[in-house]
Amino acid sequence: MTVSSFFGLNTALRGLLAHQRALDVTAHNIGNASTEGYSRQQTQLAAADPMKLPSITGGGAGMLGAGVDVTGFNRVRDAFADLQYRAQSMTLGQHQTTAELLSSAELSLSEPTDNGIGQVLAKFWSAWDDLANHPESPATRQALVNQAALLTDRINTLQGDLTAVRTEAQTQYSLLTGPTGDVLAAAQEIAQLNASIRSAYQQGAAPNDLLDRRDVALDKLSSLAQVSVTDLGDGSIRVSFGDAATPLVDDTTVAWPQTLTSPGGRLGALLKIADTSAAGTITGYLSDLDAVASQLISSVNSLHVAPFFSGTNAATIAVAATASTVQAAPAGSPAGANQIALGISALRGGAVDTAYANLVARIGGESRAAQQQETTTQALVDAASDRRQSASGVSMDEEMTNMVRFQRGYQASARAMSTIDEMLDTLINRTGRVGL
Amino acid sequence: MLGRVTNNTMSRALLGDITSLTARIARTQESISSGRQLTAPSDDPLATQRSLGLRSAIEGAQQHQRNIDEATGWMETTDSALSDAASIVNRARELTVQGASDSLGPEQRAAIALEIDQLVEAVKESANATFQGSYVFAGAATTTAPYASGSNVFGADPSGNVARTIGPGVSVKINTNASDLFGSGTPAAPDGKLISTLQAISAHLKTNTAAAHDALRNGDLAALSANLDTLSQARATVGAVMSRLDSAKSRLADVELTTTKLLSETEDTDLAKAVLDLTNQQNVYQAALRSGASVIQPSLLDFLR
Repeated sequence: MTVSSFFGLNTALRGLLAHQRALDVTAHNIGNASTEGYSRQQTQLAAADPMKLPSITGGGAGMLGAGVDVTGFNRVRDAFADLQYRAQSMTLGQHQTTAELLSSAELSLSEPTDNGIGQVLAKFWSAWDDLANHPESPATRQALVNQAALLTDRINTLQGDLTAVRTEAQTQYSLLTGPTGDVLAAAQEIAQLNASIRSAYQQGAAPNDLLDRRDVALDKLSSLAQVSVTDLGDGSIRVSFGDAATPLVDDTTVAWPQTLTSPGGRLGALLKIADTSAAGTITGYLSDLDAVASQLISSVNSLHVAPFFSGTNAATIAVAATASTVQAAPAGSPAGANQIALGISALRGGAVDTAYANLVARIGGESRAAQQQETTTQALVDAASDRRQSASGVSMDEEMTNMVRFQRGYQASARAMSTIDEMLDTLINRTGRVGL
Repeated sequence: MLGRVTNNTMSRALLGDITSLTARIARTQESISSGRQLTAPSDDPLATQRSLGLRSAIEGAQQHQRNIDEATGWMETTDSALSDAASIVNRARELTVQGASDSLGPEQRAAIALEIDQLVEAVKESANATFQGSYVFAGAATTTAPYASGSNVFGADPSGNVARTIGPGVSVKINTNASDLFGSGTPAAPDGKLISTLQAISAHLKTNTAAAHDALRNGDLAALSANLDTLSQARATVGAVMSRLDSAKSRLADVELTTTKLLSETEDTDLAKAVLDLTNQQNVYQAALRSGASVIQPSLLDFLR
């Protein structure tokens, strides 16, 4: 059996084409070096099916190599690194959101400054001392009523500010889970990509870039809530989201909106902060503040015979007394009597002050914990991200080396082709021209 | 250790480190420029709680010092009124001794009696002493004059107490009961107190009999001595309260000073340390930038032709 004279040309052509593809993939990698979620791709090269040849001397058959084949384009991805990354990203989303909202809650305290409720409260007790020093003076009464009004105003404002943080958390949650929110957008993208990826697999192609895009969408979902992914076998996936009853995405079906109670991630943090039951973070602060207010109301009112404060909690507390109804002593006492004023001023540093200081320490402590957890988790997310990048990331040095390699391969294949061409030139143009 | 280190890994790490360094520099800078290391409760929840307590204690100490200043003013007014009353008693004693002398004629005794009558008015004036508009001898009825003009009867309710808070849970009575000292001058029912005694002296001077002169020499002088003793006792009490106020005030000033120092240690920036920290952080920052610039820039690309 003979081999065609042109066989070598074809082998060289395969080499040219394969190296061209490899260079294309290198260019694709370089182009996407900064693309979010891009996984580097590799050209899979393999020797083409060889040709069986009987030996020229009639012995055992040999195999003549037929050049190179591109067998596929590989996507380099570490599925375990993805799992790690998403778990950490969920925790980070949770702590980040908590830290952000709690720091706006603690800002509304404006402690420790001269303007905080702590100082206003101290000045309120001092106003009672001033009244005790001058029970006859209408000016000290007016000053006391003004200081009390400032105090109740600050308590009302703090109550309003904390409620606003809770409302803000609820609004953010509604935005994220609403019809224009991130959850639905990511879920729909995943569902569409599921369809495209399945049909690509059915046609025998590896939809590398579509897989990358689906992973990006999953990363986005993972910072919002706990995400778990099940492979359905045909390239499409089922995504469970938080503690939703039905999977968020099942192949091409999207089930949203659903009720979440404790989904983890950013949504989990928002739900915890927005919770209006006693378990809610801000609700807890508000009930502590209510306790401060009602302690203030009851302790002052029980000494002051007619109600000094009206209202029952932080939202409703107000000054009921006026300069003319403030009592320094029980009704009917002489003008200089000051038992009530002395009694109320002795409340300084008592239960009200302590309850307020505890509230400040509680908000500060929880905010600090969230900030510290955010820092820690950020480091873990970075590590997971590095690990992922270590497998999938594009390294310019590597791509440059590959580029030189493939370029040289292409040049060498071209040289092989021209050598075969010269050989054929000898055969076609020079052979049989003896004596011409 | 990571197997492959890519461009993105390096730039992410560099960017992350630089961001956290800048955040730390900004934080140190803020603590230097504001002079406070506690800017929010989350910076140090326990220190914040302590600082709230300290602030309240400082405000309390300042207020109690103001209370003591008020009380001291009140006591000084009381003391000077009592001292005036004491000199009136001494003058009355001189006049009584003079009036009891047998060598005087009725006209001269009548003249002395006129001066004694004036002394009664002077005692009432002392008893009507005010501190910042409040009558100090009127019990709690500080707006009622003890002796209304033209009346010799103690007009206020002397039973009420006037107290001032001079420390946490400590209050002190600052008023002196004037009816015990000066009494009511009702000639029909003498009570043996200062005004009544002076009225009796005046009456005895005007009555030109041997019995009246005996009364001047014996009963009246003894009554004046008893009045003076009562006054001295009252002044001693006032002095004791004033020295108590003084010592309470100096203790409160100490408390304020140490508490303020403690608050400053809790809230304020240790400037030397903060500046040192800032220098260190800036050095690290510059090193990070420099190494970043030299790591990020070159790649194989720069050397391939």
